[in-house]
Amino acid sequence: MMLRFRRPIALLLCICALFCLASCKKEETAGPTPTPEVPDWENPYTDLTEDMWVYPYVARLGDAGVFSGDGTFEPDALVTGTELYGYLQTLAGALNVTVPDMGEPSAESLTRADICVILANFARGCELSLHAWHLPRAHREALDLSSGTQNAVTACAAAGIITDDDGSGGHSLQLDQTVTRAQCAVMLCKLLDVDKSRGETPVDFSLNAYNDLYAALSQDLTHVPECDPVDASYFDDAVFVGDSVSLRLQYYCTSNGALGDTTFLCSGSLSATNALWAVGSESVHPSYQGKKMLIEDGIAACGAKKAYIMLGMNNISFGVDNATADMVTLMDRILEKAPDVTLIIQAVTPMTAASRIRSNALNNEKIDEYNEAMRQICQERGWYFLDVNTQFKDENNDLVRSYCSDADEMGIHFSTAAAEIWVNYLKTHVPAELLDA
Amino acid sequence: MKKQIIAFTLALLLFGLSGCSGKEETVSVDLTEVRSAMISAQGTNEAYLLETDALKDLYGIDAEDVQQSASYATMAGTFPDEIVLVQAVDEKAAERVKTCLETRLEEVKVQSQTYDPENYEAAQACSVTVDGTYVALILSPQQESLQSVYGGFFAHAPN
Repeated sequence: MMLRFRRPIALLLCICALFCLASCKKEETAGPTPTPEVPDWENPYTDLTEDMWVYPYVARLGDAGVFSGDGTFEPDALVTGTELYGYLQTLAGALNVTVPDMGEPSAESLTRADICVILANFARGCELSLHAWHLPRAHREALDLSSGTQNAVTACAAAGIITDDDGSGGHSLQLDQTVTRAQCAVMLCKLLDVDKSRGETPVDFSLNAYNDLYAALSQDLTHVPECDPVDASYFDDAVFVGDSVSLRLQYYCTSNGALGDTTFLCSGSLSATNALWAVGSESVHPSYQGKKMLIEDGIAACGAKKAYIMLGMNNISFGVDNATADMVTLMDRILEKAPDVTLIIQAVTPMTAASRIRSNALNNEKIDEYNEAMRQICQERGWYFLDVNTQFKDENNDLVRSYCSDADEMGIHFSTAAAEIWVNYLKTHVPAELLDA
Repeated sequence: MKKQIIAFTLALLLFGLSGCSGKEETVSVDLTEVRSAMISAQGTNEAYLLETDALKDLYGIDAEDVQQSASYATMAGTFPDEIVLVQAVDEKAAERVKTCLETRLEEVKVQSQTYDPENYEAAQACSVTVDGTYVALILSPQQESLQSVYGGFFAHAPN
């Protein structure tokens, strides 16, 4: 009887062994960095207890002599440059390396980006060899920072010194956030346990190590390459914000599910300018489930993770600079209410040659000027820019007449054929980062 | 026998009185048929059909309030034409649906202010109509002719 089951059991054991091996391999390159083992250390702090999450880190640093003192640790106090430099002096002693010249420390509290720069300088000056915990990559959040900071952020993120997993399911390095003493302890522990870092690829802390990655990201952000079409369900967690041009897309997709269960926050006359005004009976804010609300509140309410935004037709005539400035303000408001949302700005679509609303202030040249300005802003701010407008232009840079549904020659709204092309473009131009997610 | 005749006569009388009470009886209407007739009247081949599951996001109408619905949007004008036809489950639900559609109508009236006078005028002429548990929003420059098609399905029997 047992002989009958010997082969299947052996097969099962093999599968289990393979599964375990695969799991172990995965842990080599991903997942959070481990909590240090708690050493036998005499806690001198009255406000630090063993049940606090930060205790193992402070204990490890205290045991190594990096943290010293008595009284209170004050885990929520913000770390200043002066304080961090003091820690790095003792850390260098613990690592038996010479402290490099890092300039004058700031007495101000530090942001996470600041700390990345300081720790990268320290690691480079001390010639520390840390192995990559994650594959080095360019971070969209760092795009508007200096090249040196970008490289430092990538190196520190790759080494696991900072992480984009805030424990709430969101993914943000929060580079502009200040750092508490408790958070700093976690970062310093990673440097202290440099010999325990895993992986095979060393992290390059040199000043220009990852410039190529950032150049490629900038290119990808504003020139999203064509990909295989995604399933409509990809758009289930997306929201489309737009004016009457997007209203056409809304009804087309709502009737046939072409973009899955996506949400639309669109209304006639909407612009980034009037979207900033207060909601009222006379405002043109779109409604979400029957309730008129600010765009940022609508996006937060529907829980979208990707926001496709096309606005401009109703305020470009007031000046491209004003229109782009209001767009930036609106995007910042959205990110404040929904920090995890990925912004994808869609280029404003063209007008027909015979459009009756064409003027010196609003025409296809002005629309192109606005689109180029937004492309530049997207590159700087780390937002995606989609050239959806290119799909609808004729050889004279005008909207192809057959794509326009306006019987009264307003010359901007789309036909069903154009809506189909729009949907197809969206499905075949998904940022690689979102495809992977 | 006499008692039975009296009771029967009374019953007939009560039935007759209730028929003359002035309260109109709403006829039963298949809204999908109404929608088809309205689309034909508009002469459009680009009507986007909207069903009950779309009404929550678009207008805030709960599916539980809806007995049947048949709606559509078209893209012929500056503003999309929106035709929303709903039979609510009861009169209270009809009141809620009416509120949602009136809110939508007001939104479009405001949005149309920045458009040309023709579109503005067309939007201001639109309305929400209620017939028993049937509620309709006809938002179109052709609202007069569409209203006529819609009303044709609700012709009441003479009292």
